[in-house]
Amino acid sequence: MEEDNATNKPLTGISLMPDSDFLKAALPLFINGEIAVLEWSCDTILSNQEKPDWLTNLLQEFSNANRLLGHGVFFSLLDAKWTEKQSLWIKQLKKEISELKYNHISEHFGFMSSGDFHSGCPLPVPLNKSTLTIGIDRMKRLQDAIDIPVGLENLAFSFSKNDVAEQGEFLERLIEPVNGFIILDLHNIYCQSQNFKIDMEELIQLYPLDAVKEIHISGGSWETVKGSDRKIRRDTHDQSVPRELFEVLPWVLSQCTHLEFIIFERLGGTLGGTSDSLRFQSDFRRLKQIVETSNSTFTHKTWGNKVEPLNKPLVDHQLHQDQILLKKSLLLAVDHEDIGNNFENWDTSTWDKDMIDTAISLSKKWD
Amino acid sequence: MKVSDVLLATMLVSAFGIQAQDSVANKSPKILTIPEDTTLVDSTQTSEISLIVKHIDSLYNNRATNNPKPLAKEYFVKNRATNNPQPLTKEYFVKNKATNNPKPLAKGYFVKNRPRPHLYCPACGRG
Repeated sequence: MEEDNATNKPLTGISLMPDSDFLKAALPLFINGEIAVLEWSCDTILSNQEKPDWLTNLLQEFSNANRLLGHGVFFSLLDAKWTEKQSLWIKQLKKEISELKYNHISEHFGFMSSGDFHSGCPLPVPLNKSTLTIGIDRMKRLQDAIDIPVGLENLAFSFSKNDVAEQGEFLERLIEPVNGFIILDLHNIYCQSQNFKIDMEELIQLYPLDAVKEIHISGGSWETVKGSDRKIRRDTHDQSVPRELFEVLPWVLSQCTHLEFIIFERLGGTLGGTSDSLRFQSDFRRLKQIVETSNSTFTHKTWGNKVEPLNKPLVDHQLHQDQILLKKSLLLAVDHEDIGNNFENWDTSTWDKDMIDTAISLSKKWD
Repeated sequence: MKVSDVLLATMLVSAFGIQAQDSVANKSPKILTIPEDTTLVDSTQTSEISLIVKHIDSLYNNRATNNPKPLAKEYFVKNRATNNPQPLTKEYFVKNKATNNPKPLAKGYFVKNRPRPHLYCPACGRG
């Protein structure tokens, strides 16, 4: 079953969802053998007992062919406190990796808005000594626990233009000690580009593109800000891929010379009918066609380092207090005016008010 | 990447809610019922019901390895109870519910002969 990627071109695949609407839409792609790689968010299912047979068998077949990628959602990488939750997450990840052969594992930049294990949304943190120290400690712990490369995905949401501008550098410094990789999520870049009026190519160039091993591409939606004409782009994975992403993709491919995988994302439960399914398939095929006809050349890179983390996980009490306060404030606030400026690690006076309102709405939705 | 036909058949069953009665354990063939309105959405707009049948046939072919020549889908649909020279009717089962008992026990038997509780606990000896 193992196949070699003889052309050296990145493999195109999908992020797998267990929902039946998603399965119906993706089935023709599976039947025709069009899906070359699968990404599985392995921490989104509570236990293996909840996995339907087809899901278990599908993961196994892609695992056998070395075409399976692992993606995490709930580790909360930049959480300043180390709790039983993170220890358990790593323990479960080790078990998952012992059962299936994953090519690599990735997580999201940021910390989770909820203390609960299976809820919340990732929130950004500013680049400073405290946040960087915590992040590097967590990356080392992750790499030490598993024997495959680890990577991080850029975030769609930022409070300010400063956050947007420094995320690329932040990610580069987080992955550097473990020789990790970046997932460049193009729709997340699109969100930042639209929300902060920055050119996409300009923004992409702020990222360490030689560390991009994987690209995510998806659709999203617009949310109108209350009492304003402004619309905020959100990474909701519930619509088709914007035209701009297909247009910029050939250039992105030419910049990411170590790219290995391109993953198309769509949230399960959002494919309402036949037209949605057809659009899903046509987006995937358009993506695949762009990759296959690309003239860009790609070379393989070795990822991952042997690392030795400190015996005890680092805890930053001040940063933790700030994170707790921010989570609470977002959950309880009615609008941006309810968020104070009592943080050591954030200067909320530089935050975009509409983005604060969006964070309030995100927190209430996912917590 | 091509996935196996057996897996595709399982995915088809899950995606379309096709009712499956898997009696492999009983060494009789798998019986699948495909709803008449089942279609597989594809950008080519072709009706993909044939793909479903193709993969289900493939499933049969792979499973029924003891058959020198795989049986067609229609065979299973028509001959569900192939071990019976003449299929048994529903009425047969209703009439012969307790066929293993030479004489069914009366309800009163169970009331009279209810298992008695232990007079003492066999583990700790307490009364």
